[in-house]
Amino acid sequence: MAIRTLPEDVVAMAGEMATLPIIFERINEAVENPESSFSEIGQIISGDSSLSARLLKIVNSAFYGFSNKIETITHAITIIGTAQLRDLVLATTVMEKFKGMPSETINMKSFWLHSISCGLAARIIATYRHDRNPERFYVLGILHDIGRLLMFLNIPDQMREVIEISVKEKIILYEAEKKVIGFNHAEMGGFLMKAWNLPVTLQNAINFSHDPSSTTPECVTETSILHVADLISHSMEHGSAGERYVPPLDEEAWDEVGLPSSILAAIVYQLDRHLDETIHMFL
Amino acid sequence: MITIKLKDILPGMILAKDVKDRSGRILLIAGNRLSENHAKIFRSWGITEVCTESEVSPIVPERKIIDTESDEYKKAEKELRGLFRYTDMNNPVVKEMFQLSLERKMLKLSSS
Repeated sequence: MAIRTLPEDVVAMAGEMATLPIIFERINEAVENPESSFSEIGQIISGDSSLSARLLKIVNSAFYGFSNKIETITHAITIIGTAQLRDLVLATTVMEKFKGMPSETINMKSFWLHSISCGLAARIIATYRHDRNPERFYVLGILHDIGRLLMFLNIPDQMREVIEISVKEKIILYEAEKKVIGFNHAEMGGFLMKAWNLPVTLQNAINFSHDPSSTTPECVTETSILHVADLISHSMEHGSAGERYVPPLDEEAWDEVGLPSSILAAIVYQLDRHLDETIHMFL
Repeated sequence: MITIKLKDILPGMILAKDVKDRSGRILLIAGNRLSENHAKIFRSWGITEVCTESEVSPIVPERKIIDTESDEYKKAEKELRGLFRYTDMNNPVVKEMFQLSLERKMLKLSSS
């Protein structure tokens, strides 16, 4: 009998690929340290010129709608806040890390298109709910399928089998993953978030994104918003992380989001407006 | 209240501050709902940005009425039924997403 692969095996196989970008760790430490100042955090980021350029491009985009040009990282921090900038750094550096990864089993462009679209949708939903830090939802969307990316890159043969089974048995991909490998990409992603010591909300929202009713009480909002954002992105056919179908909607998650269904048109409209620009900035 | 550039005006946004031209003459008073036409008029008066109540638009542009007899409809509908095969099409939220997806797809089909 074949030995079952576990999420930790995939992380071990991935090696350096599955490590958190060092620059993020340094920034995170500085943000968490009450003694560090805006300019210290600014200096760490500014030390990485391509990261700084990318962040400035993002905060100057139409999505933020600031009327004056933001020229320095320190200025960006004072305007959008340290926690929000840290979240943007996380999204940007992780994406940068995986960007050039060659793969025959997954279309990288389509993967990031789906992830960015899901992140934007989650962020837009959070804005409608008047959440104070919509950026964390953006990161959630960007990272939600990273587990599947790791699986495609490290256990490609098993993933090929997953796809075959899902076609043959007419089941959705995450169910086929569970059947063939023993865990699905959401659980893989949650495991990685934990290995990276990222916040519990990030771990659980990703882990339970396809099973929101099993998430922990303090993560219900994040899990539900991510679940709905993923559905929106799939419905609008904004790329794919390998899944070809719209996943089933969890009605309780929708109720938890707490918006009327009539707002979907507005969300999609906004999403369409910002997607092209964002894709261009990141990819 | 936030300040936005003219190009970022979304139809339905509510103006939070009077828009005045350089001489101080009021072009539009606060509380009005903005349309794309307003952006054009402001631009011609040298206005570059306006203050709105929120960065998100409470309404969306007019929805297209779908001609369910057209070939585009039949083609788009068939494709999307496949895409939504694992969802519960009786759920009103799923229905709305399907409808939005259908509208977009038809728009694409008719423009290509």
